[in-house]
Amino acid sequence: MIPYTTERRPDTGVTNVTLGIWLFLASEVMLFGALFSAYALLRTSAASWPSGRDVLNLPIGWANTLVLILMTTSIWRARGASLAGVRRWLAIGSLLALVFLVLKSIDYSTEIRHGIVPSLNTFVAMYFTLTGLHALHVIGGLIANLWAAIGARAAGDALTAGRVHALSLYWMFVDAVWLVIFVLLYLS
Amino acid sequence: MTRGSLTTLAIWLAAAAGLHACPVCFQMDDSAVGAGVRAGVVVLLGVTAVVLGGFVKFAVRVAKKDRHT
Repeated sequence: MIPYTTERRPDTGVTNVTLGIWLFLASEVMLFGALFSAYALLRTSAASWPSGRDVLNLPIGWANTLVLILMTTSIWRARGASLAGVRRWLAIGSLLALVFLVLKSIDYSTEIRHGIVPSLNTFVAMYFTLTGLHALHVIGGLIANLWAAIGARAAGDALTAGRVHALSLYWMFVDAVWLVIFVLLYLS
Repeated sequence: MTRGSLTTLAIWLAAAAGLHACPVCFQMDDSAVGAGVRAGVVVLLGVTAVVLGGFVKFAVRVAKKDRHT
């Protein structure tokens, strides 16, 4: 077994799970940071830039924002809960992540039907790149949620608490990225 | 100063005039593309600063913890 998965390391003051998720999130910030940098470059240098309100489906965007915030809240509620509580909150969170993905799929299919495809212009290409990568992160988080919920009983209280802690940090990051995407693409 | 350092300095000074022709720095000041490049660089620098700041904060925290033990 990998050492310090449940107890804090004396040198870093955190468990290896927490340190690992923070390092992973640092790399994720750089990944999305590069894309936001590309967005700033393309938007500032564009002769004209369409408003997301006119092109995208704003009600679905708002609904997805609400679903994602509720989902992250449910994962945070799982922190410090009993094993049964953890499983329940993770299941609720997974369901909400699924709702997010279903709404996003409806959003994509409607847009594609109306001819809003990446080759249309730079704004739409940026929209599909950012939201697509974000949706992949939601899929990854959903898989991790289910894995933690299913394996909770076998893993025990301490290990599950560490996993839920890591998941809560991950979902907070996914939430923060969505809020930036929502403001940049849907609201501006 | 060694002979190698003098040669490097001479090459550097000789190349300095050529650097002024760099289109990124001196040709795109007024263009929209130049403004876009600057905005992109500022965003990327900001993100990098935040991440590196986090690493520095963590290193300081570990060093402080080490002093107390």
